[in-house]
Order: sequence, then structure tokens, then C-alpha cells
Amino acid sequence: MVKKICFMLVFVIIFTLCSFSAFAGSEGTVFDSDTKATKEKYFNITKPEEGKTVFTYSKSYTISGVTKVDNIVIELYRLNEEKKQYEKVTIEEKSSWLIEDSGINFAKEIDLKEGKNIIMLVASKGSDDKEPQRSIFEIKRDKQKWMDAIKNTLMDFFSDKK
Amino acid sequence: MRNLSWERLKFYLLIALIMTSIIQVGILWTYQDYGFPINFLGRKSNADSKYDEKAVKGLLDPFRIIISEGSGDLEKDEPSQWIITDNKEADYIKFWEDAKNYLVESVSAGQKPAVSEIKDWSSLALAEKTIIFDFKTKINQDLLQWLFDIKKISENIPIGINKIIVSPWQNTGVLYISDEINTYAYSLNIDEKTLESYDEIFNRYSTSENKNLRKFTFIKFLSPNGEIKNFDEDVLVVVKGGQYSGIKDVSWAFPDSIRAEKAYSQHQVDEIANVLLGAEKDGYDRNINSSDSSIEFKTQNKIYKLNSEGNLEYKFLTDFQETDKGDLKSALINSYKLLTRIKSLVSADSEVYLSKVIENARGSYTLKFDYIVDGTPVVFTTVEDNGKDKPVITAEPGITIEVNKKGIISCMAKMRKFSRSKSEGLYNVYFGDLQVELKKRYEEFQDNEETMVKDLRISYNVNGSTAEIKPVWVLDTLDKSYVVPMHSK
Repeated sequence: MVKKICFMLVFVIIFTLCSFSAFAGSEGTVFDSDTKATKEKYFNITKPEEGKTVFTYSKSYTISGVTKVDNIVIELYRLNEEKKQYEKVTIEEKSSWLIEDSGINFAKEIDLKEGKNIIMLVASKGSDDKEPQRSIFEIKRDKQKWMDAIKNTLMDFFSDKK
Repeated sequence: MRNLSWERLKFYLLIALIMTSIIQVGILWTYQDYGFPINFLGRKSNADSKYDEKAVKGLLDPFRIIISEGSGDLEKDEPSQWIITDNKEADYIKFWEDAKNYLVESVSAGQKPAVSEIKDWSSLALAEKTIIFDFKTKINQDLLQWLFDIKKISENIPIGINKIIVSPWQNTGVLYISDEINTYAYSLNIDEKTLESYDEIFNRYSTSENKNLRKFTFIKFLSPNGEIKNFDEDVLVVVKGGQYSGIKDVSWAFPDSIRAEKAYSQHQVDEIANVLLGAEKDGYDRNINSSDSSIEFKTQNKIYKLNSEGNLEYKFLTDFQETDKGDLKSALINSYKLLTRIKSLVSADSEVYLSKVIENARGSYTLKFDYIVDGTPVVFTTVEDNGKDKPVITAEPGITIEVNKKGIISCMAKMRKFSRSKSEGLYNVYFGDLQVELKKRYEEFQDNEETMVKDLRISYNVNGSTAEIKPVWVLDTLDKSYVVPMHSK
């Protein structure tokens, strides 16, 4: 009887431990900083332009695009340079978005930290998709808007003098 | 001598009697609209010929004012747009009053505008901080002069107005007017104090923490190369801020003044006749129908029919001539007189706005009016069962009036009393979800790039007899309006 109880206990413990890793798996794939971008096979990014570094003064940036196929799951990641790892972006308590139709716009406004922001958009057919689309873009948020303004005014002034 | 004066008195009395009988016949004749030469006497006795000119002009106020951020550098900025639709709001009044002054100064001062074929309004709007005025009805040149009290019109002015942009920070200010063909740019001279006041309004919107203040974005900004199909690049959509936004609850009912459980009482009919027919009420025959709870007021050539479900029908039974058409101004004034009577019967938290003008081939205009509650328009819908999961919803106007310079030819009005509530519901306003719902519901948007949405707005939907009103999206193409339900949280 004790043997049976011990066996059941061990089974429950092993099952619980397995469940942890199973749930951890559903959090999504871990992407390290060396992750490379792939071709846009599921999602056509319209903003920002592909391969272009964006410079902005704004505290947020709207990423936008259009789905190319049906039933696409979109996730957004931000590179944590200290951990050298991408971290999932959560907006309004959601970190993945299912878009059932093609030709649908997906746009999200993400908050930016000062300086360099490396954002990755992952579009896949679901968690089983071995080759998801990865699009990576760099957005630089500049704090010193007034410095630029002074620079521009001075440049305008001198160009007028000429 | 005494005999002579008595005869004279009788003679004067007879003259007076003849005069009064002529006037009386004239008045009665005018009620019947026979067009007798002395009908001006009748018209003079009619209090309805007076109207509030300011209120009539108000029917042509901009449908919405868009406050648009922009710095000319879309790479570096994330401009947002905000929409003001309530013409009683202080910001609306300020912007519109200022724009009217700029327009009058520019058009009447003889300033030669720079004319171009700018059609890309969103780019123009995003170039600087701008204030955009969108009209539902194109204001033609005749209306322009009357509407803005312009005494002298200079040459080379727009043939009409369907959009205005005030760009206060461009040089000393620029006023753009579009007549759908060309864009006319006039230089302004906006003073520092006015600029400061505009700056304060722009800052208030951009720094607002109010989650219900919806931030809009031009389609062009989301897809600069036209990747988003079926939507004109000037259409404003919601992608920023929360997916759900608070929209005030509104309810409707049949107006108390026209409600009847079984049949209308004599007192009720008197009250309705008093409001609807005014001084003419005694010239109409009355017919009270208890089987369908309706009343009919009838003369030889006019008929009003009202039922307790709030539907008012009017018909002018005499034929009219092509020459009776007149201009849009007189059509508006005649419509306004009827609208005032309808409004007196409805008495609620709503206004009406002119939503469409159709110039008929034969001597008349068809003007469509819709209710607007708290700056949000109301749409009446019917649901067509198309055998699919998502039935097609058809939009109908609140009030349709066929009119010419002589008067109203026909009218169909849905008389409803709308009541605002302090409570609000949370509704999904996100553009992507609207697109999904649109595709599911309408074949025209399934793999078809030709159907192009020109305008998109939130409206309250009155459907059937349920008093509860849900907000919906209304999408206008050139020839049709599509209605898409909004999902609540």
C-alpha cells in the first residue's frame, strides 16, 4: 500500500514538473540577439520601411502592416541588450494577436525608450510553425528635439545669408 | 343733410366690408395654394414666413473638424488626429468662427489664390499642424455668398467648397479651399495671440489623459504605398490608444406628443395640428384613424399623415413646374420651416444636420437630414436576411424632404426622441477588427479592390423597435453606405 502511495506521489511530482516546462514553452520561443530577419511571407510591413533605421522624437511608434495570408499569429518583441535576448511586448494585456483574414491591417503603437529600440515582429501560422516570419527594425528615439530645432534654425539663417 | 351723412356712412361701411371680404378670400386662397395674384396678403399674415437665418445656415456647418498634428517629417513624428463633431463644443465654435473670418477676408479681399490640383489632402494635413473642416454637402458659389455674408466676391474664387484646411503655422498662415477639382491657397495673417490660443488647444489634445478621446490616424500614414485596400488614403481610422473606447449610452422613444395607445384623442390632435400646421390648422380636414393609430390632415392639395410610431408623411398633391426649382438656399429655408415644426414635436437631446443633397432632374431638390446626438450622428437601419451568418444592414436617412422654391413637395420623417445618458459602454474601435467584420459581412469587400471607402464614422444605430441604441461604424463609398456593428467589451 505504501509502495503504491509512493509511486502515485512520484508520478504526481513528475507530472507537475513536466507541466511547468510545458507551460513555459507556451510563453513562446526565446530569440537571442543574433536572430536574423527573414522574408515577409505572411505579413507585409508598411511602416517602418524595410531595412531602414527610424529616428523619432516621439515616445511611441506605430508599427503597421497588412496580412498576406489567413490565420496569422503576430507577436512583438523588443531586444533587451543586457540580457542579449528579445522580450515579448505586451499591449493592453495581450502579447499575441490572431488575424484570421488576409488583407487586414495590423497596427500597434509601442512605447519607446530613449536611444536605440530594436523591435522584432514575428508572424507565424501558430506555435507549430517551424519557419515563422521575423522582421527586425531599429527605431532610435532622440530626446533632444530642441537641439535639432536650434541646429535647423541656425542652418536656415546661414543659408539665407548666403 | 342728415340723410346724406347716413348714406355716406353706409357707403364707407360697404367699402370696408368689400375690402375685408377680399382679404379673407385671399387668405383662404393662399391656404389652398392656388397661386392667386393676391396671395401675398395671405403670406404676410403667415408667421411662418419668418425664420432664423442663423439656424438655417447652421445646417451647413462643417460635419466635423479635424485637429491634425504634423511636422512635415513623418519619419520623426507620430502625428495623431482628433475629431470634433459637436458644434456646441467651445473648440468647434472657436475654430469655425475663425475659419469663417479667414474665408471672408480671403475671398472678398481680391487676393489672388495659388491654384493647384492638390488631391492628396492627408499629405497637406500632415505637413504642419492643421485644422481641417469637412463638409457633408458641397457649398456652391451662390450659397457661399449668402452663407458667409460676403458682399463682394473677387474673381478666381473656388466654384464651391467641400473641404477647408487652415494651416496656421505655415508662414503667417495659409487657408486651403477645395472645390473637388482644384485647391485654392490663400495667405493669411494670423496674429501671435491667435496662434497661442491654437497652440493651447493642440497641446490640450495631445497631452490629454482621457482614454475616451479617440486618436485617429490617416490611412496614408499607415500604408504610404496604398497597401491597405478598399480605403481612401484620407480616411481616418483608430489604431492608437486602447482597442476599446467609451461611447455614451443613448436611448430613443416615440415622442410623447405623438404617442397614442389606441387612437388619438381630440385634445392630442389639436395639439399636433397646432404645432404641425400652425395658423393654417383650421383650413385642414382631419381624419382620425383608430385602426392604425394615425391622423390625417388634408386640404385639396396637401396631405399630412402621422402615425403613433412616429412616421410623418407629407405630400403636395398639385403638380409643379420645372421653373419652380429655385436655388438651394430657398430649398433649405423651406425645409428648415418644416424641420422646426418636426423638432417642436420631438423635443429631445438631438439636432438635425444636412447629410445629403440631390438635385432632381425635374424642378426640385431632395434633401436628406439625419439626427445627431452629442456630436454623434444617428443612422436608421433595416436588416436584410441574406441567408448567411452575417445579414446585410441597410442605412436609411432620418428625414427626407423633396423641396423647391415654392415649398415642400414631399417629406418622410422618422420622428424620434433621443435621450443622452451619463453612462457609457466600452466598444471595440480598432481598425483591424472593423476590416475583419466588414469583409465577413459584405461581398463587395472580399477580394475586390474596386470598392473604395471615402468616409468612415461612428454612428448610433436605431434598428427596429428596441429602445437601446448601439454604436456602429458607417462606411460611405461614392454610391452606398455600409453599416458594421461595433463589439462591446
